[in-house]
Amino acid sequence: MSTADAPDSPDAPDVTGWAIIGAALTRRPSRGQWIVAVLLFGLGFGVAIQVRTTQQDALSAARTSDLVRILDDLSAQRERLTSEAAQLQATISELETSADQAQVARDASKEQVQNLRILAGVVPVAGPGITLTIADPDGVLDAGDVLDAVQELRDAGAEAIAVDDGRVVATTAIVDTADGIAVGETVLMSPIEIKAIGEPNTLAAGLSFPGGVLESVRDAGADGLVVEREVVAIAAID
Amino acid sequence: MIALLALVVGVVLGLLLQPTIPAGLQPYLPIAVVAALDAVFGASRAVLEGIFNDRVFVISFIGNVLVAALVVFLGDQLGVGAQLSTGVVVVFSIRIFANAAAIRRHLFHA
Repeated sequence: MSTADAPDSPDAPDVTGWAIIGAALTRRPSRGQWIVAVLLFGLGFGVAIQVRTTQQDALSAARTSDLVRILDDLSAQRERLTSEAAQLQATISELETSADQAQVARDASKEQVQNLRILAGVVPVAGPGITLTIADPDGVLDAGDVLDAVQELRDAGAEAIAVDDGRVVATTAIVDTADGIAVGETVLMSPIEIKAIGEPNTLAAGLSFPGGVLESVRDAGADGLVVEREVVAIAAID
Repeated sequence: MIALLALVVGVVLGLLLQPTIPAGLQPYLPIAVVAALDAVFGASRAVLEGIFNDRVFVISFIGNVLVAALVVFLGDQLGVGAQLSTGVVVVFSIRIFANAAAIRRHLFHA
């Protein structure tokens, strides 16, 4: 450093600050300056340590009371968050439970709707079942015999029944008309084919037991034949 | 010159050696540093005014550090250590600003 850059001020004759600094810097170190140097060394040392400590870890420089306060804050925060987490957990399980219940109810309703549709005959169905073919060329049977057969099939657990491809449901009328036996709108022609869906063995047994439908049909002078089938298809009601 | 060199050497040594200060002294070190800085600025101003005295500087330096540490220690005992630390730092900061202003006037006449 030099004194050449001293400002060109009006009071130039005065000793400027820059000159004083230059003199102080170039002076031979006296004993007093050594002591000052030792103190400044200590200051630099302290500054360096403090800066490093602060950068290292803010907590290690904090005083005990501050640490206690920080700890308290964190503990309170943790407690609050824990209880919040528990609340949210409870809400989750609550929602899951109600969702499960709603799902179960929905499934049950769907199943019931499907069953009712089958019963009402508005959907086509297919499955294992039987066909009962009644040959009645002489027209000896009346509506009562057909009704017996349908009733017997229902008792045996038939889920869906069709007579000559006309679906039989709860409201289907089976009556004698001038033209012959009518099921719903359809007048039956020999041979009469009755389809039923259900457990084939049970249905067949329900028709062919002694004194049952088959026997009474044969007694009347017609002929009946029961065939168990893997797949019977029944169309929806018209 | 030798004082400036000593300051630089102190900083470098502090960074290189990375000594750990005892936990009990940790709250006092920053306060002591600020107090010492005040003494240094005061001394710089005295140099410029031509009234610098080694003895006065040494006594003010050590005295500043000790009084600052004592105030903070008392504050800790009374349970207001944090507030008193802040107060000490504020007071020394004001003095440092005043001395810096005086130094500026001497050097730049402004």
